[in-house]
Amino acid sequence: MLKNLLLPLFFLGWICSSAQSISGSISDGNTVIAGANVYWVKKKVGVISDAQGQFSISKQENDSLCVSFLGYKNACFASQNISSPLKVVLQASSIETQEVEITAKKASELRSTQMSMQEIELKQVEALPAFLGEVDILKSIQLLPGVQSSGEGNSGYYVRGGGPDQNLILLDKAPVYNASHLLGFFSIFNHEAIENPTLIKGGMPAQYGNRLASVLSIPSSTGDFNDHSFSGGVGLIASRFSANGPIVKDKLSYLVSGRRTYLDAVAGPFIPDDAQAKGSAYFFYDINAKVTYKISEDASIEASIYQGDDVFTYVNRKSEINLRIPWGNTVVQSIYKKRWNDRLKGDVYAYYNKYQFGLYSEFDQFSVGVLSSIKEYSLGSDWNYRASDFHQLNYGIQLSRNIYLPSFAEASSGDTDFDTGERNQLHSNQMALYLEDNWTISPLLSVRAGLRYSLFQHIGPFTRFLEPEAGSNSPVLQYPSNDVIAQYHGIEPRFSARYVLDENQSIKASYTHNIQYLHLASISPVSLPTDIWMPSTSKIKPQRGNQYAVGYFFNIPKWKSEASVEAYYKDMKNLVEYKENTNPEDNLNDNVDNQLVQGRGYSYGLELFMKRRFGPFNGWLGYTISSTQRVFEEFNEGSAFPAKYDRTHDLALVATYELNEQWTFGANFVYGTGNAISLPTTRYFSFFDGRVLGVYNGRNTFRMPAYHRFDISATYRPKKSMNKKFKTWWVFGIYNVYSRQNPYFLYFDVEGKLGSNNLKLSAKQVSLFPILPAVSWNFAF
Amino acid sequence: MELRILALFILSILLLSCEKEIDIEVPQGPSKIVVEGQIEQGSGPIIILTRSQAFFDPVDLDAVANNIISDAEVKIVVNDNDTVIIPPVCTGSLPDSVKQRLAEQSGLDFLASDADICVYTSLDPRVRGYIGNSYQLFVNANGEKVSSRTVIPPSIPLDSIWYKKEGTRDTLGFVWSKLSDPAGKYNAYRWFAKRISTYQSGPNKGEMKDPIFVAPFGSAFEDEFFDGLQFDFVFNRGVIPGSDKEDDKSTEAGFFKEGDTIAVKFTTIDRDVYQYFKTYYTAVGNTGSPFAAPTNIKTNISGGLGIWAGYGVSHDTLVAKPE
Repeated sequence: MLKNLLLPLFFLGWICSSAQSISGSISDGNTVIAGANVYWVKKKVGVISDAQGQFSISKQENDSLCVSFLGYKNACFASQNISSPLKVVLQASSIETQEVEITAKKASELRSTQMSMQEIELKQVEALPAFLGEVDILKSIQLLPGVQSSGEGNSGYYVRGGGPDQNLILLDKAPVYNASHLLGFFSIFNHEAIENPTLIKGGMPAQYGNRLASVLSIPSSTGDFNDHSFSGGVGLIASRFSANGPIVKDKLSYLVSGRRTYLDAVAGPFIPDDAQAKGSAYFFYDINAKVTYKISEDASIEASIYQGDDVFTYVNRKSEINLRIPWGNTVVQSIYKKRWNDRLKGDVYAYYNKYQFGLYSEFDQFSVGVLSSIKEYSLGSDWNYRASDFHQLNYGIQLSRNIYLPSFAEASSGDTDFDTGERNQLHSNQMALYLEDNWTISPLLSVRAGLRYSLFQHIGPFTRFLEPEAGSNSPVLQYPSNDVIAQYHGIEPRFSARYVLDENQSIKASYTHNIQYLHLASISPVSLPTDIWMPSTSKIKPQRGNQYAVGYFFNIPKWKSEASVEAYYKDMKNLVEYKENTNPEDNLNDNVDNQLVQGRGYSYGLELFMKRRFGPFNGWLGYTISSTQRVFEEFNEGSAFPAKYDRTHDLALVATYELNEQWTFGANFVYGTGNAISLPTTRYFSFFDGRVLGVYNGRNTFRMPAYHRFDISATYRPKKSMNKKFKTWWVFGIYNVYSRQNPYFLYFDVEGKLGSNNLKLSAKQVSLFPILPAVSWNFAF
Repeated sequence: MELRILALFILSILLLSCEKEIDIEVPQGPSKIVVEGQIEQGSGPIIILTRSQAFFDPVDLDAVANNIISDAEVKIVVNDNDTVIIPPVCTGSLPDSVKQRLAEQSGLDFLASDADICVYTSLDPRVRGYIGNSYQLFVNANGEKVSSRTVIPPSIPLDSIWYKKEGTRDTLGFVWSKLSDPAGKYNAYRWFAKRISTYQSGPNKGEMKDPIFVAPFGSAFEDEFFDGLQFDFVFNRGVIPGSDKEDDKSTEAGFFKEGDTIAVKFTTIDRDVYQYFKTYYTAVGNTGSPFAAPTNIKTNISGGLGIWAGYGVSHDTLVAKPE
């Protein structure tokens, strides 16, 4: 099967072209400018520079080619004077010249056909307050409209009513399955090893699939080909160090970046040797490494690896308890990139990734081991072909093989091994093909239309546990290797359009249909490393989602700001949830999908966004009003209930201010409607056991109090270090400045004895973080 | 369980979490009849009827006593054949000394309190628990009806029980049991213990340490993972929630102490009863954990809440001694 699927790969590169064209790049001298207008004045045709600031346009005679971008002076060239490649350096317009740029890259939301997209500027993120001083891009994207945080201090996020499994998080080409450390408090992405990430929450291009809600694309950094440089930092939680530079000048470069927490190393020596829990520890680490080889000016090949793990060990010497819980991701990938000519570029890639969770515990003569994992091998290719000034095609293919081990356990008591079942893995083959056309119908109207075809097969070997008959254990059905047990496929249309009203206004609309052959089954109401990734099976149908979005994008030149208003409606079906009253051990000697039920969901909302990206004062304001509901026949008597992360109001205010060369300040404020939660509405007594027992009526019928928080930060660059090669800077921060006791969760507590007058029932709110200062020391040389 | 350790550890080392009491409005939920009943091999049935209430309704002694339904018609049908009316017996009409004895004998501590509490029980030999019998329960409380059915599975004695010191602790330990699970059929169990020795000192001097059999947390289990196997298992000492006895609050809480004489009651239960206790312990254990899903306890009472449980019983006794 895989062999047959490989064939189309070899037909992708055949398209070529011959017409004369001009290509070039646009920058302001320091950084590239994406989204600039490049147009022939007489012919009235034009293109827009891409994310790398590059463009390509057909050559015209007796005309002039102009480049324009908000905040800069236009630059024009007579056609007879132009030679390709053309390097354009734009001058800031007069009102801007006195001011210092903070933003690293400029992209115009107004001009691109893509809507609902945001680029995260790492430079700016680094100046913003960071939780415990750890810069975290996943927390920064939670500050964007339409993106909701999953909880206090948590890096998990929800996009436009989608679940956490519906976000595609790509490190270069490879998806990352569990992108957080420490139960979600930190993301696995070390900001020194990556470039500016991009979040797409609507109008998903056809290139991306197998997720319903969003794409977060995180490019890894590439080592410099000429100079070595080093950087690092020492923070409260973790330290990091990065190095990059040439191995062979101008040919081969390397980048290595590592990060590790040191709570265990610092605290260890201070724990007395006779303490009960001596030997207990927790740490996590990340390593990113990459080598890049420049084959020619137009071709390169790179290989990279990410490895990160969390390890928790608990020892109770008094009770002879030993517990070890490791979990983590491995991502290995290689990408070959080539620009064939001005019109055609493409890449071929291969990756392997793995997420694994383990738990090993020993107590006296008992031992328990639990394992769950997901592995993926993938091969693919993406191409971009500019057929003419009016048509730009993206197309590609991806093949993958996945191996899932949802849940496996071994347990023994002394010499007796308990029967907890065999390793029952699920194997799947997947293929996706896509073709998309960016069609510039006129300088005002452009359309992007794409189709994605995806195919999924669940193949043997596999053991299916059938319904148990009364009084006996479950009968099983064995499928041999390569048997196709379930197959699903479908066409996913993607459509976006942009119409420019005038130079400061445009409107956009998009429709996308997505299919997702992957499900995250979570017993817990919050994301945990124990959550189980399940493919679609004969029992679990693929998730499908439709999203409709419209937006109005405009510049406010007076405030040097960009703004947008977007509205979306989204429906999803075949979402999964565990049946009520499922325990983790129910997955043993059984199939996980036998414990799951499927339902549907819908979400709609309005998002306002305003961003100022010029001058010493930068920042944005994001506000979302939305509703997200779920409908499961098995829950809430079949009627709709709010998703846990249904958030009526969500507001974020983010600002940075560069006072002078030494000091930069950052601040953010967030406000959000409280999470919807389930609590008991009634209760009864167990006199035999002396307990008060709650009864839940309906799902998520309670609301936690609203969440709000204000954080500030300051970055200080000592004057004396500024002109030296070895630069240092300090980042100070205060999280939760006014020490708001935000709700982390609520529960109903029972104290005292049943059948006495000291029995007391109360509602309790648990809050995690009061005001928390942080400091980190950073360096680069 | 292990995950709870991880969660607690991380929350405690990293975070300065704080807890406060808040006011919250609870919507009105449906009030249902709650049955808590059991019939043990060799004993008569005992049934308590109450109603579920809004979560924050008063729970003082009077309110709890008022919640008990005293005027229901209760009957048991044995093996789909013999129908026996089970009358209420109320403590209000009994002298204190009798109440005290009743509390000790039934294991229902609260029967000794001042409140007038009615339980349904009968000495009729037709409703004495026998292995293999089925017992259907019908309750009619002022027109509101609930029903259930349970069986008493064959009792399965433990191969042996012994006391073992726990880790490096002095004079404190757990009770271990060896069980041979019958092969090829479904079995579920529940384990109870009672310290029948008396306190030698302190405020409770002279009293029996445990007036009743106490089931430790998680005391019910089924043979899904060990059908037909012989194996050892261990339980800590169960503590009645809210107990203010000295040894339930000190480091001795949850441990048996060397010198204790311990009676172990090992019972067999059917699948529905096991499901009730499994979800019951999950629900209780999940309360107060942000990582746990809300759990409703599975019931075998149709139209109501609670449990109607038949127990096959075997007894053992041991004296906790160092090995």
